[in-house]
Amino acid sequence: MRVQRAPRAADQPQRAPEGLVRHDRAPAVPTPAAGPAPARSADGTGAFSADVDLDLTALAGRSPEDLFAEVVVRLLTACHREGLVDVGSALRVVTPTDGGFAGVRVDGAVDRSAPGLSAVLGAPGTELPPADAGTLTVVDARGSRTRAQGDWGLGGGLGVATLGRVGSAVVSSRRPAGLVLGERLGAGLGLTVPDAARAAQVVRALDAVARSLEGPVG
Amino acid sequence: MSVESAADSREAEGSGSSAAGSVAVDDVVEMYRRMARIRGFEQAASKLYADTEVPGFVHLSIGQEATAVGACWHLRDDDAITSTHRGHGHCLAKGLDMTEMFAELMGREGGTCSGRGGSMHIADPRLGILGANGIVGAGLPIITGAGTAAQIRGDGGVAVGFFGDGAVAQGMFHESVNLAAVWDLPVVFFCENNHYSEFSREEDQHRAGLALRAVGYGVRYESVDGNDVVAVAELMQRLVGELRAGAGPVIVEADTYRWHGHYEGDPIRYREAEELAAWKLRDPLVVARARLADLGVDAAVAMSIDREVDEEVRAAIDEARRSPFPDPASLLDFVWVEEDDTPEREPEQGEVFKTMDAVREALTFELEHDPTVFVAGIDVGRGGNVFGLTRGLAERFPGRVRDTPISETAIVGGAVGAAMAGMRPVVEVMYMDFIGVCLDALMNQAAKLRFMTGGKASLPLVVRTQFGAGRSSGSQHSQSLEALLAHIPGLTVVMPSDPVETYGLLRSAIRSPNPVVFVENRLQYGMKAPRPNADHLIPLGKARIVRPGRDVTVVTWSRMLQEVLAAATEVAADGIEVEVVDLRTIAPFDRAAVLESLQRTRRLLIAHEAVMDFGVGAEIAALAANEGFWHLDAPVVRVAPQAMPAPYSPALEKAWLPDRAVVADALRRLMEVGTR
Repeated sequence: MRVQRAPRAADQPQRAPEGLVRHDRAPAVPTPAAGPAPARSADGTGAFSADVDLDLTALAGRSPEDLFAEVVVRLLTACHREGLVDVGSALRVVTPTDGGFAGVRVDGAVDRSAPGLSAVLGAPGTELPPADAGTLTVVDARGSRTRAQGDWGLGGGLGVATLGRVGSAVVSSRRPAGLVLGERLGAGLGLTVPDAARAAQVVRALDAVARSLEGPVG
Repeated sequence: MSVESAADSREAEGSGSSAAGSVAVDDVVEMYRRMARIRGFEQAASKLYADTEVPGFVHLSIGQEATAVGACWHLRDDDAITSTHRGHGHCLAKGLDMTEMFAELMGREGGTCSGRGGSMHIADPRLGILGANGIVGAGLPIITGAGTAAQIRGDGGVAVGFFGDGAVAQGMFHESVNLAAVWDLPVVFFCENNHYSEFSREEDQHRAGLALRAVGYGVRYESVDGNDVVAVAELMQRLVGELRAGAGPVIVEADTYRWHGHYEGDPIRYREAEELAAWKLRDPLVVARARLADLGVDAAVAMSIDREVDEEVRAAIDEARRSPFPDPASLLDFVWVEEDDTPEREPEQGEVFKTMDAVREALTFELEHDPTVFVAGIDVGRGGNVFGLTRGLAERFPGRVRDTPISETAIVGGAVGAAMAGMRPVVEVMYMDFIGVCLDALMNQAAKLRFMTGGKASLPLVVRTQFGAGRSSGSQHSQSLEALLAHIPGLTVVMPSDPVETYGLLRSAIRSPNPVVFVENRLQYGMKAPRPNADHLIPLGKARIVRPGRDVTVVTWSRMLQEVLAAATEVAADGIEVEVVDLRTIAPFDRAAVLESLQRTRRLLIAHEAVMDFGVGAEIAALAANEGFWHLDAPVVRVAPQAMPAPYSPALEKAWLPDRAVVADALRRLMEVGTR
């Protein structure tokens, strides 16, 4: 007799088995908001970058730190589902400074919750943490007007993501009662990976992040 | 010289001269050494505990060393003992390694039980030490089982069960002594009367002494000065010799005293200092020194032994400290024996037989092929079981199919002891409802002893029982209590659903190295099917698909399978194809089989005869909600009786117990749930 055991608490909730993630609601090609832009080439030999315009209106009540952590957790979840990171991957969160970059490194980041990650990021470092081949770097560029693109010269590792400036805009929408105005909170999210052969995964991951933020957020 | 060879030579010689005339001088010197080792070990353990190097609980027997050494003096390695929560002395006296014991107390991998047991659970069946025990009195049913094993083997083996005066108030004491008396077992029930039941004085616990009780059980009684090792050893020499020659059980009461509190850290507010001071004048070590002086042995001999023991203790602690703590990766080791099974084969189709035949024939096969198998239970011998399941077996296998008193604790606890002593007992609890009477033997002994001994103990035992609602048997004779048992890690719980399953699974259960509770449904004893080939075996832990289907999975077991199959046939007319999974082994259950079926059908219903709340169905539903979440297209449905005692009135019982119509109705409604 071989005993089949329930998964440990640390191994729950379960990840979807391969092939069981339903992509049927996702488009086969990126939405207009997700604009793939080959950094060098699309032949699978160089790096690949894409960025997406996130609608963060559902997170408008969150503190800046919690909002950032929420986006990063959703990015990690999407990247994990696409195989761009794994459970053991580390996360490096950096901010541009006058002298370059400074930030913190978080191991085992994929299983962290947004509040948990926010707590860790609450004490930023003063130096650029090292990155190895299993590290995904996230550049917190919210304080910059720079577009959320590129690898910022931080290449190596699994890739470099950038969350750009969070800005609000007045938008109109049509309701049964007529045209109404509202405020939309948005930010750009970019992701660069060193291998263009993973372009499709990058696009799907960014698209998943954008979709996960549509509508009410728990 | 090993404990065994020393015992052999002592029994053979009876030579030399002590003050009492029957124990050799060298033996008294060695007895003193062994007592000094116990004293040294426990004093060091007390300090290690105070220094937090030993975690958990520690109960010391300082002041009682003479009973341990004297009682074990004439025992062989293959003679069994059971100890108490105050068991360091017994283990050392029976030959356990001091370094390994220190390591065990420290919770280290090099411990006697690889750090899994600790002070209260040290055991090594290879030395006949069937365990200290954290449950007061629980060693007594176990030693009764060891006595049974020795009697069946007929090798002159003897079993000694240590207990304190506090254990006499436990029902386990009564059932064990009575069973040993009825079966004339070679057991010494050895009471270390230290006059305190934990915090309470002896006079507040009993109104009759052990001598009176012995008369009531029809067993012999002997009293002895428990602080005089020579007196204890001389008494045991006589008793052990008589038991080896075939005499029945005896109760020994050794008068002694516990110097420390019930546990280390006990403030001891319940006794006066003067009482302890008076008993210290009768320190077993002082008494032994006096014996040595009477024999003309220089006092320097004892002093030299003391110094040697001090050095031995120091060295043992140093060595124990060098042992690593267990690797967390080994966390799940020793809970179950896990091994690959022989693949199941399709059974041959012989003449029709019934479930009741399947039980009897499986027992017969194993009794014939394995001399360590024996059967015991209420009315299983001469009476042939209340349902006639064991009819004829007692005559065919004399001494190996045994009637017991109505004593479920002694029956199941005895099975634990017999299994630890190398047998494969198959015992019967007549109704599953009676499990409550003997739950300790299942929950704290059978299920845990392999783990707590770091794999040194083997518990190949089967507890057969039966249940079945639907015949107005009332609330205490109808319950399906598998969830209660399945919640206990270490137990294997099997519930067969037809005659062929009963035969193959029961044979596998008897051959299993793990403790198995085998639960039959009495309403199925008359069920018929083609008889399988005699060597048919069904692996434990494997479910089977009884009926394949694409629309919905139903997981069920035991008699409810027949209701589910009937419901599946009924709804097939509506175009609903039901896949029926018979769980067969309830714990540990075949998670993969359930998930694989769910993956195919995307809908799950669980049907069982036990009440719904907190049941096995809830565990399967949790599996589906977690690991099977990705496959579900509809809520998980449970069909089971509502949580209440089984009703007696047929009208109420029918309303309470789901049948095929209820299952069919649930299946139809489940199929109405659309996919997202």
